[in-house]
Amino acid sequence: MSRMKFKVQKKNPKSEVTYQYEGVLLERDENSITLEALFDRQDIPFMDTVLKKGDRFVEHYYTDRWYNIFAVYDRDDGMLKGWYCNVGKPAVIEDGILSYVDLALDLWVSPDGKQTVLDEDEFKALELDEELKAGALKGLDELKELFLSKKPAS
Amino acid sequence: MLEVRNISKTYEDKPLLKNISFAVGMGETVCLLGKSGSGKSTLLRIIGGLEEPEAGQILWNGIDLTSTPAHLRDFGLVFQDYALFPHLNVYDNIAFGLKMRRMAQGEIYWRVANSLEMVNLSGFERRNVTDLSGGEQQRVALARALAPRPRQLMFDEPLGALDRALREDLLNELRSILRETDIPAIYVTHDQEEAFAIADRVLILHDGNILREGTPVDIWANPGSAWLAEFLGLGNVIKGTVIGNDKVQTTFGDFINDCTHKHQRGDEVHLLVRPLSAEKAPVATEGNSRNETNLLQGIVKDVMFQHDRFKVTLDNDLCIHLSEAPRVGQQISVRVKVECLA
Repeated sequence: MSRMKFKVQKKNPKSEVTYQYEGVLLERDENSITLEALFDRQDIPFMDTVLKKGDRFVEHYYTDRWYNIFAVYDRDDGMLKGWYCNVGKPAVIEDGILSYVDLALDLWVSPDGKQTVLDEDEFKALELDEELKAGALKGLDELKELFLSKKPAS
Repeated sequence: MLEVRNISKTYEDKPLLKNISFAVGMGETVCLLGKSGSGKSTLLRIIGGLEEPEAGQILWNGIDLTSTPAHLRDFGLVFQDYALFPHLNVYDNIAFGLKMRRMAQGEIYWRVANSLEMVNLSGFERRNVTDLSGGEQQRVALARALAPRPRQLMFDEPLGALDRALREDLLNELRSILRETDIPAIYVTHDQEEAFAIADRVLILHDGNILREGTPVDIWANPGSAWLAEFLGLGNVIKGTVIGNDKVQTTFGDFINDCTHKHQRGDEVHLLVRPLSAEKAPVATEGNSRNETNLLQGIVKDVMFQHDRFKVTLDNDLCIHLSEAPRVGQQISVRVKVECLA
């Protein structure tokens, strides 16, 4: 039997869809949804690893948090490559479509726990209003804290 | 999370639902189990927005939906009679609600395909629904309910029109779909086997009230009333009078049980004798049976082979299960455990 799929839409702060893909539903809770998606772009070196076409992303979206977390597993050996975290407005599920407004800031966490904040320049260039800016920075702080205290759900 | 709060409804001037309240947790399947006429379907229709309650509220995450029309509640419904459009093919039946939501063509196309995959009908898009079997039609109805990704699923006797073997297959598939999607569900049925197989929690509806609520295991082990023990077919329900020290006198003999109800001498009680609790005791003669308790005695009226045991009916209409078949007409005596139903 096949599982239920959800479409994910990544939006910019103007609410325009910039990227969309499908994920298979793994788990759903009152305020979160977990999907599985396969990396569908060409292999690309990233940080201290390579993201390959077909890598398995287990993606945790939250409707009450300013971020989402993707655990990335290798296509070939299934090993955890790290956690790719997007800072953005809380996810929204409407008509069965999951969407979130991406606010540029990202956090990459290696399997050893090392944290790297990405795209800070891009974040500054967005010229967000105070409310969005504050939400994003709060989201980033919560993420850092989360990975310091414990490894989140993989 | 769905919350049903103090719902009341009358039917032909008689109360049908009396102040019903319950909630459905995330990912939980709740069964409304009751006889026909118990109001369970009406309650489901009220929750779905197809009927109005006379009092009470339906809430989602604390927000009152009572005046929200059915199609805006974001609930998926599956009925006994499928309720498919006979003039539309499978694709158009499933796509109908998505088109109403003005969803993009491409989005509708893959949603229909994914929903059909989920119910094991991949590739059925162009088939006429009237050419499908009952089981296939019900799968299409299920796919249609799943396609909008509802926040709650509701089933009204969904397997009622199907034959037994098909029912079991579909029930199993339904179970795994509910488990895998984590969509909370309310499932209405009069069939206790179906209810116990699919429910995380069962609500027994009787006389307009929730008579009993619990997990299938809990309800099975502790029915709590003679009515429910009989409705669930748990075994022989025997009426008796407390004559002291957990001892109950009945027309079938005296029984001892360790109930916790703190009955007074003279109280009328009901005892449950589960057929499986019987073990064959030596045939009692008049002489020694007088002081013995917990014996069921009678003349064997019928013996029916059932899987790994025999269902034995006595001349006093009591029914027990034995591992060896007695002869019809034989006088037997079996020792049983009894449970007090209060």
